[in-house]
Amino acid sequence: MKKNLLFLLFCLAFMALVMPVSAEEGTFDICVVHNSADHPSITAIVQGMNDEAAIFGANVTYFDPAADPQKQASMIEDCIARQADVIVVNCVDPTAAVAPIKKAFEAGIPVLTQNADVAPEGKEFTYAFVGSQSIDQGYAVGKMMVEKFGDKEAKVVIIGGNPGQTDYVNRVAGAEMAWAEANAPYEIISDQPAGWSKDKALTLMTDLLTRFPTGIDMVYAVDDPMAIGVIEAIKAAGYEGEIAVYGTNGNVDACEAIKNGDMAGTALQMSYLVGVYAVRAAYDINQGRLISEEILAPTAPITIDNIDEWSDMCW
Amino acid sequence: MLQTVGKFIINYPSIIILVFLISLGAFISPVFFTSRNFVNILWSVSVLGIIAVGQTVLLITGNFDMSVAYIVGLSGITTVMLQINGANLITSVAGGLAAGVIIGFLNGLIIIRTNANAFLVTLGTSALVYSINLILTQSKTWYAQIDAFLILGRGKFYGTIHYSVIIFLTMAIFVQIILRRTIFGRSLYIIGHNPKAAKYSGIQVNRLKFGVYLFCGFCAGLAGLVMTARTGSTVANAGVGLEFDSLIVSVLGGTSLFGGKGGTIRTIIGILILGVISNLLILLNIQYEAQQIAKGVVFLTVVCADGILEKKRRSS
Repeated sequence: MKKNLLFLLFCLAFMALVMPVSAEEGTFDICVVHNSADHPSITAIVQGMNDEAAIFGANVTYFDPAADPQKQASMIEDCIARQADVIVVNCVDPTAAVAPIKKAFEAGIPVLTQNADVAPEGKEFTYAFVGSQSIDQGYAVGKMMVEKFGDKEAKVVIIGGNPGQTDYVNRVAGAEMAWAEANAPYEIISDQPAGWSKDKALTLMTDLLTRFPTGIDMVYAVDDPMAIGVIEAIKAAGYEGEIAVYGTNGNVDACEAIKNGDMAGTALQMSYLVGVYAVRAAYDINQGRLISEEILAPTAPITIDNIDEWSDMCW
Repeated sequence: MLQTVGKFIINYPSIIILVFLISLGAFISPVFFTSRNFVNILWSVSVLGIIAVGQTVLLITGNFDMSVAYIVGLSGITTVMLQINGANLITSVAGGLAAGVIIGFLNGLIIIRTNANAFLVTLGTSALVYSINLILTQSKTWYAQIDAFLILGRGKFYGTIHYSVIIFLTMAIFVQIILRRTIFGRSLYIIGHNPKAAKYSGIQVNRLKFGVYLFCGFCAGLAGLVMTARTGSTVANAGVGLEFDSLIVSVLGGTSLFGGKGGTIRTIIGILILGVISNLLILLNIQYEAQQIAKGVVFLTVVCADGILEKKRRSS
């Protein structure tokens, strides 16, 4: 019995050790609820928020619901209970986030959405959306493809995230928009999801190369890690240099791959700026100023021609 | 002769389904029945296979490990971090395997000490391991530094078949022999079948259970190394989903969720079923939604066939 009690105490001590510590004092409180902290873009956002918070004297606390909409709802309520000055939400599920955001609104706490917006019926309870438009990112990639292949016929493979996800759907739609504008006769011969996983993208591309031993001209993987997985598959199957691979994000390894010619291009998503803009918007709200309803970070198309100018911004 | 065939079908319905799937594939896709494609299928399932070997042994004793998915991440992260800090190949690989074994140790310790439900305990450690992964990686992607390490995931034995596939198949066969031919192995079945009877017949139930958790942690750690070597990098949630997949393939092969029945050779069959379906659906360029339906139907067929045939097995 005593031994078991000791064991329990040990467990509790361990838990206390790994508990997160909140930020230091500031003049106003921002309570941030991520969608899932396990993504490099969130790391970049946090970096941007922390850097800007130091300038504006904000006290930022972060919560991670690990892509669980229910957890996100209760974390938003925690933010209300903490009486934060501004709540920033990166919506896991646009519809599920409406109810907790409405609660914050009723409690008189201004809400900003970041990166992923709330569903239209929740817009009236928020001040602004801070982020980048996934359709713009896809459009930038589509334009890079047009620059390379012009109005030649080309066959394209899409490697997606999870079926139906906004970012996935919009990025593909953006690319198609750019093709349509240029009257480029590209054909999507396969559009399959790989769950944002590099390993799954590798397996999927390996199978697709078996299915289409010739004829794939371009691949658009809607996220850089998956694009890198696709490149590994292309190398392993011996098609190196024959297929143009595009991604989105601007991750360090993608920029590296663009530099050494393995990858054709990516749309740089400036997540750091999304963090910076969110703190500035929160500051303005706190000062009682009016702010724009949509605060968008720019997207930059990156290819081997301009990689040197941009490599510092890769994350 | 006919009777032997009938008995075989009753005992191994999954093999029949696998043979059916392969014949179907050969019939409808011109590129399916090629050695290159089979090598690719095996390569794509090898990581899951190595995990499933450990999971199957645990299932035989009537236990689960839901933390394997994040152990895959942890072991990869440990190895890569060690390499970044200048460790050599052997040290970094040993570090990654040790990380897996330590979590296995923790799982085993808690379950034996507290007698808590294995499923729930390992779900708990899984959350713990995930947060360790997040802290270590700072949610970034980290890259392996030693080129020789990548051979583990990408290299082929004399250009024929990947080393990772050889590791998986060797482990599965070796473990099967231990399960069937040693007292240790047979004791595991008794524990799964009836832990009380096992205890009263003098089997050190807790000690064996603990050993199996260590082994499962080791397998997940090894799988993590293979996956990291395959992609050349690692992230905190690298193995997410593999915990359920490892259960599914074990069950597809005919290992019971209730313990006392199964084997790792069966798991190879289960894995091949999953690998062949996924491959075939992509080769046929079928829509994702339809793919899920097909997977569900095959899974239900195997599970139902097993349930119905179980009755026949008992009566014969």
